[in-house]
Amino acid sequence: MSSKTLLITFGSVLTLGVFFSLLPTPETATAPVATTTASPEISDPASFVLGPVQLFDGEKWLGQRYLEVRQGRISQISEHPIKTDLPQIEGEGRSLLPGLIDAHVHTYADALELAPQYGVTTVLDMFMSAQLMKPLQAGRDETPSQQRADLYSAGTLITAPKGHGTEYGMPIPTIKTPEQADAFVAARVAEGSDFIKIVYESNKAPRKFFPSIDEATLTAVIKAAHQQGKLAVVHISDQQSALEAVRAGADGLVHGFIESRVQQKLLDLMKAQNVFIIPTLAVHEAMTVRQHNAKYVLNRNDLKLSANQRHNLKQGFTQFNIPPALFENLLYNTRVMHQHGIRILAGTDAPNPGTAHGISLPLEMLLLQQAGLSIDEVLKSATSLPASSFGLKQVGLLKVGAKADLLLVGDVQNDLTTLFTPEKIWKNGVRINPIISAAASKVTAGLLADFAQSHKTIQGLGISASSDSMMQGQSSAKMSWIAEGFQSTGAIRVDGAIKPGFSYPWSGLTYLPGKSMEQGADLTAFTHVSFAVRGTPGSYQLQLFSAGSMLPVVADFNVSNDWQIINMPLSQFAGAELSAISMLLWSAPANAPQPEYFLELDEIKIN
Amino acid sequence: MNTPRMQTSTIKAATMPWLSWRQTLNLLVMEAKLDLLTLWRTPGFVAPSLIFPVMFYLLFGVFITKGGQSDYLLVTYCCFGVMGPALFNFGVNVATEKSQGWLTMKQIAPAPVSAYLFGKMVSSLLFALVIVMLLFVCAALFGNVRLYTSQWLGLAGLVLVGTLPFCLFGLWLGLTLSAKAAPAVVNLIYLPLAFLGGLWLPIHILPGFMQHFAQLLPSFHFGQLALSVIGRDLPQPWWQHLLALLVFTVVFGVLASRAFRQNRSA
Repeated sequence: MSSKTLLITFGSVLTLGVFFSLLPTPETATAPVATTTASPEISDPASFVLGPVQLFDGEKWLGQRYLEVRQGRISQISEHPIKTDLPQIEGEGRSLLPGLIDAHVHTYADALELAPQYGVTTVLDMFMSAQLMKPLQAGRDETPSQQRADLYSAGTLITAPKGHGTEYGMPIPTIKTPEQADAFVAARVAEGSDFIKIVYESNKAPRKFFPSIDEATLTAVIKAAHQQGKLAVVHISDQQSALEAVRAGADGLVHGFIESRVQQKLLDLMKAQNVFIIPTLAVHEAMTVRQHNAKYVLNRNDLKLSANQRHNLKQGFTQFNIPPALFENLLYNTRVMHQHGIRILAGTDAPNPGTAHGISLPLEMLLLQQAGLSIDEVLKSATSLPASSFGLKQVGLLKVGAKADLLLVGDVQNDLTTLFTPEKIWKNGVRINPIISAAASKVTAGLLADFAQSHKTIQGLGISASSDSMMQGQSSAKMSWIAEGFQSTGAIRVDGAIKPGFSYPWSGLTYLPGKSMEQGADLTAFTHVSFAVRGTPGSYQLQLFSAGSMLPVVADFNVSNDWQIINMPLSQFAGAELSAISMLLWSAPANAPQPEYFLELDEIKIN
Repeated sequence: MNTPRMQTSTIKAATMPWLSWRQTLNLLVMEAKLDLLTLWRTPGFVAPSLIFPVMFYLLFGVFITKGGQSDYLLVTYCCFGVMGPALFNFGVNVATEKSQGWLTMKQIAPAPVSAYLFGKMVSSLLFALVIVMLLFVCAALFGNVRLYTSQWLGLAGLVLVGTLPFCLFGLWLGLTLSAKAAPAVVNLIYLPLAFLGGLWLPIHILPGFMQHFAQLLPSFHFGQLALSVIGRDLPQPWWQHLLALLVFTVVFGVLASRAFRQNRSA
């Protein structure tokens, strides 16, 4: 071989050697130089590798897998350890599920922040204020760093004048005739509704709660929704209404029914038209049996629950007086529908009485299991099924390109109660931090207020007049300070009138015992609340509100023309969350014989 | 009656007993030099095959995606890049040289025709190496790609060896197509092959049916095998990609040698 060839060969090898040795390599601990040129992904909290985990992708168990997440999305799912420079998170062989989807919620206050605390990373809202909806829908198609669930919402529900949905004090448009359907649905779509929710009650229903749109209007609204490319789901509460809704072309029913056992006719029709159902077992259980929440959640003290969530879970729809045994019908209906291949979706109807955002979904899932679904089917009902039923492409199924909404739990394959103590939760690849609820204010025993000089109180935020006029009700209330009090100078007087108009009429005085409305005051150290009172003779109510809740616990007291001390044991307020009481409301009763009244209040004490 | 003659010629081509090893080496170096010189004097080949992969990588891998996928796309654009010289040097240039009678000349010349093919292989590989090195430099400087030296070397080695099925594919096309048709046809094959095989955009962002279809393409398996070097391949086992590439190599090899025989007997 000529020396020239040798030279060329040698030169080439040398050049290549130099070239490859000069190519940059990943930073290691021994090479702290040039950190500024390191890949930006290394410090991106939404990029990591997780594994090994037992992976349930939303449809089935895939076995042991490793997951790579880049910028909030799943970039790789592998059977083998993934070699990258991203942070590695040990899975320790735990189970990994897609972030859960609650298929029936109502969004207000901190709903979207509470939901992911228990792994609910997407919610399907079935009625909320259309004004509040728009900003909360933002960001769901991307993967921003956020500590809240993604929202898909029906916005304003579609109901008849004075129908179900109008009783909450929020004025909403209503529909009367089929001719209005196209424009009415178009208005909802313009407001940003992701799907259309309709309230329907057949005029043949065994028990009627509210006025309802008629069958022709229902059919027209569903048709309009379909023409405008939206899913139409229907709120029903009995079998006859369900049958008519399915016949009218509904895509899904957002409640089950408990008054009867499902008949073959409905099963066949639902199957033929591929209609799904969200049986909302948890909220029905709270109306009837009322043991589920206590058994799994309230009797445990290791669960992270806010006072408000705890309070809500204790509530029930006591006013309906539904026989507990009827709940068996709902379990039966759910099981039989499932056996017929009808899609069952997990939804809670939170925050209705007996339910709370987030935690109620595992509770609902346990009830679905009780109804007869296998654990895998239950997991599907809260992940891939709601996603596919509502056309959500990026959530509910763990695949490459999907959002990194992840729920790491214990042995959920054998025990759904592991969902109550999730190991780790990610939303868009970012860890969900536990909400640290600020402590409720401390209250010292004795006087809360004596109104000696003015309306100012000794402890707490103060007292004021309040009535349902703030919710467009007809009642009124006006507060004044009076010099002549009980045994000493100064008292508070309210002159008001209580009138029907709002669903829950009230008129009276509100006192806020804590330093803030959100956290409330801790009254657990006390047994009695007392106050001096006189006024228009009759029966009045003291209502205790738990922090974050709009549902009071009520006890009655009598008032006469003369001053008297009312001493009420706090045990009378069963169900109130004494660790965080936000508000005390002295109110005239809704059914007062005379609307006009006055009340004088003094010497509020806690002991 | 053709069969015995061809067999002898094949054996001769492989062993070349009438040449000393030194003469053989000189011959091979000569052929390689010659082909390289031919390529170098064809700006229509040099410019696109060097510039396009680099330009596309900078565009898609660095600027549009803001470097978020710069390591993944480096691998796929390397695959895309090296497929170019393989398909074009063999596909288009063989077709041209065939029409000019150069191939016939090579076939009747005392030097074995395998030396001619070897020369083409060497020049394609050299071009591939230059492309890979250019892409590596871009990735390191603009894409902030950091790989272990073993990964840099492994990737370069793998994509160079992986050009073999595409060289044979190109050879088959070159022998089958006319000089006029070849550039258009090879382009029509090269670009869709790269796109559908997931070399331009990550395969997992393509629709499901396209992902299934990709399993039929050598470019997909080539890309996945190369991605396994940096651990970014799909969950499919790597040996399946290797097997698929071997099958494609055999198939294209058989097709090319059949076309070669037909060309000679024509």
